[in-house]
Amino acid sequence: MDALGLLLHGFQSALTLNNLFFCFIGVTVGQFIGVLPGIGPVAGTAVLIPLTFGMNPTSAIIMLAGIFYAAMYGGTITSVLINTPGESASVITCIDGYQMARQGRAGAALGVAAIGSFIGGVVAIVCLTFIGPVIARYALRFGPPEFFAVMMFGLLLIVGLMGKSVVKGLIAVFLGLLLSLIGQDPATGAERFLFNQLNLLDGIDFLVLAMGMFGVSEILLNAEKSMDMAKPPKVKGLIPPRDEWGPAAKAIGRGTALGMALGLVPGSSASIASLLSYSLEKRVAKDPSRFGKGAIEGVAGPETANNAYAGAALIPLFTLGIPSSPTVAILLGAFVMHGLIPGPLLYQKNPDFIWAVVASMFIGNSMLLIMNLPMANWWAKVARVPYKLLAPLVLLICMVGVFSVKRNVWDVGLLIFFGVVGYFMKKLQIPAAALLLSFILGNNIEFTMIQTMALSRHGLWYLFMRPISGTLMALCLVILAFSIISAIKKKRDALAADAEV
Amino acid sequence: MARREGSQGFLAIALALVAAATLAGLTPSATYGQDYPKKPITAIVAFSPGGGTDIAARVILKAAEKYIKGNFVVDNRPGAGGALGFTAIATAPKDGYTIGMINPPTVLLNPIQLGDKVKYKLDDFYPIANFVSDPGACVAPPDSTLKSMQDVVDAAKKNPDTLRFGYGGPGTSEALTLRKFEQTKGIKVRKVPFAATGPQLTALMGNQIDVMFTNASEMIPQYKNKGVRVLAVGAEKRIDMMPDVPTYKESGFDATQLAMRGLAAPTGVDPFILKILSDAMKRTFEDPEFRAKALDLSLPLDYLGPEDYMKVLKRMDAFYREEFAKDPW
Amino acid sequence: MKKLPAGFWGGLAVLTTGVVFFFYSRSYPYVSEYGPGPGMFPIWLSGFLILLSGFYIFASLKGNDSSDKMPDRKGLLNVLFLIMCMAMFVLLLPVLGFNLCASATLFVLLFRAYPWFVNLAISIGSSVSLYVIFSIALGVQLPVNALGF
Repeated sequence: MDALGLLLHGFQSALTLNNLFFCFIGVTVGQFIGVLPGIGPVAGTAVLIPLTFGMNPTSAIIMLAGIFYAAMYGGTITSVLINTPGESASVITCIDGYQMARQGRAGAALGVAAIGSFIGGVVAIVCLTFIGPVIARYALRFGPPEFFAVMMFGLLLIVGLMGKSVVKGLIAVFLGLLLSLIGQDPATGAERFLFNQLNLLDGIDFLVLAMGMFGVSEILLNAEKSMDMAKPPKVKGLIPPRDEWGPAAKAIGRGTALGMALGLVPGSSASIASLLSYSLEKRVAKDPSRFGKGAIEGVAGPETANNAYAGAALIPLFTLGIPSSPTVAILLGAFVMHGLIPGPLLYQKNPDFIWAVVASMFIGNSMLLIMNLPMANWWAKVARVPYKLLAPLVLLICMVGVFSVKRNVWDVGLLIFFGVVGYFMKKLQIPAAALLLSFILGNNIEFTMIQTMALSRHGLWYLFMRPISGTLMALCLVILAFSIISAIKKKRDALAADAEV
Repeated sequence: MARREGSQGFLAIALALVAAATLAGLTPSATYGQDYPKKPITAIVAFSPGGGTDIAARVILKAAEKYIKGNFVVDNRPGAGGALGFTAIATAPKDGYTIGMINPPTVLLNPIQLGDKVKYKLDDFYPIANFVSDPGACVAPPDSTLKSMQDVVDAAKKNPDTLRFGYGGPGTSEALTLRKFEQTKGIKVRKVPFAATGPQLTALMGNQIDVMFTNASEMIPQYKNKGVRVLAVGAEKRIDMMPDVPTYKESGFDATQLAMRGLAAPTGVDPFILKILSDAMKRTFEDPEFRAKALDLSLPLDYLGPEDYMKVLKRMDAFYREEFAKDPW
Repeated sequence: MKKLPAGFWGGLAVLTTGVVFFFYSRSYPYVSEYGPGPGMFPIWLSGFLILLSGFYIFASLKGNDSSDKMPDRKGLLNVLFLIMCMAMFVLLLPVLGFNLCASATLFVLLFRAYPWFVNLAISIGSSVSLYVIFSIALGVQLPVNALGF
């Protein structure tokens, strides 16, 4: 099959002025959506779909796909600058990215995120074109038991990421899990922990929790020192210092591989991809204690992983017509709307379309990079706006953003509540990131567990009866065993050494 | 010195923003000189943007703007499985400028299931028009040995409590259909809940489950692709988009499963305004350009005027109340 | 008598949360048709939480805790001020509509930061810009008051 020839043909189509224009609009709007809290890529893409009615299908999909991956990048910007994740995949970036910003290295953080995202996205797309269909079939072997195993693995990793106090970290994880259970249980329909509030029937919205515990609480924390915070250090420019290139590059490489692998698996999510990448980086780093204080790999790895994930997640959509996440499902809706049925037939009947879109993704990612490298510096300067003005504005934007999700003032009240809770957690040094991550995983874990038990009479043993989930669960048990053993050893050593401060 | 200039610059920018915004606000809206509508009509959609209801609403309302000679603005109010949005419609001001999408059976099931936690009733709505009726579908993998609903029954009888049946979770119309299927056929299957059609489809294609109940419109891409085999649909008669697929009734299962989406206003709106709205909707549905677009989008159109719609709603409501009284879920 | 460390109060809060959840969990069925019922997960989770909070309280009383100190009076007042402003925004939003409410909230927040006319311009300017961005560019209707803006 003359894939290369088709690809070149696709470039021809993608490089027309018309399509370039739409690509540009998609990428710009996407970034804007990503930066603004509240409207996520899902809502943003959905709102724009009707506008694409009059356009020809290729241009429409080019624009919508552009929004999709550009929005991911926009979420990074807020994570780094104001410690507020724009969407679930950006939570991890807050950890080291924000620290880098406080040290004046916001430019470097955004720069490496831009480069990593570009590389991750492009490599994923290359693989999409050539080996996609084959791999996608294999990915279908992942069912609820596998999803459960992957998430348990993720949960264990979260536990492993905690700072100094194991007890506090565990408290955060369990709190996060409990909070995720609030609302209607999707498996049995029972309403849990509603405290008589119908507004809680759908559970707590991720965005409310994230913006409260990260954004608002950060501002409250800074308010202690009165609103005239000391001027943030001078922004040191875009390019990270020489000695960080090596580690960053390796992190990018690993992130790409990881993100792509996960993107092919329907049912995982970008947040798991970035979480796994962060864990991986921390484990292979020569000096893991740098993580949490502005380690560049902590930004490079996860950011690359989640863009590689986004690119790879399109493979099941294109090849099998299966959306692997809500955002991708919107794209599926757009496809159908323009009369294009994704799946194996699409490759046969409309090859021009597919290759044009793939080519446009190259172009779109390049546009993102070109726009963002110089703009990273620009964005970083936002941090230099006098804090007494920035803080109230950010507060207002958080409140509006949260409001815009369900157009419900109640959510804003909840935001304030979690802002205060987050404030106290930060003072008590209970890790908010762990809470947020386990919240994301929480009710999915329960749901997949119930699905697994529904699938087979053997109940949870079914997990070990299947090759993939069996391996993963065994891995989890091994990690758990090791952690417990090493924790006991540490305690024993500490007691023996009679610690002096 | 530099600071003073800075804040002056700030002042200038702020004033400019205010001026620009004021000018924007003073621009007259598109519809003047007519009795109704004098300003944009808000249509509340009880689900998130991008979902089936939202897209159907946006497409239809955009087409209807021609006939209503006005603008529609979609207002998404997701939450509580639709209850928050439905409540918003029922309690909206009755000036005719706020209407919304209602989704039977969900809109009916909420008050039945949640009792008085829900603050609306069927009587709070005046149905303007039904847009689409999406029948349920019984679907199996393309290479499955199950080729009809009877095959499913046979397989379930041969190996009770083994056949893996996917559905949308408790409280959905699929759950009721599945329950009825089990009861009337005397079989027992393993019911596996799914939160959305995407994962459910993946599970089916990966042979994680053997068969599933879902919505026909969501299966159309796969149906055309031959990616799945649709065993039967839950409509009264065969549907145009899948002419070779028998109905549940034809397959020996006496039931229908229908998810409808239509427009309604709160009761108490001026009947004159209601007539304008329902006439506009009727003409939209007869518009050939719109019908062609709907076909492209695989929207299963099923127009019902106010009286017919009300009849159907009342009938469905009575049916579900009876089912719930017999065996609550 | 030494003042109780911050960690103690934190642990107590966690304990209370755990107990509340545990209490509610017991009212949900433990098993369901296929396995865990709505009650199972929460009971175990809240149970562990109670246990962990016990450890936490114990550790903080022994003096091993590493939390920050509570802020001094001025800092605390600042924090409360912010919270009050946000609460004001929430309460006034349905009444005043977004433009007025946001402008008012910003005005109060920036009160000590800029002279009043600059403050007013910034507050109104930002609020209206946000309104334009969200309502028009993004299609998200922000609430309006009875006067229609």
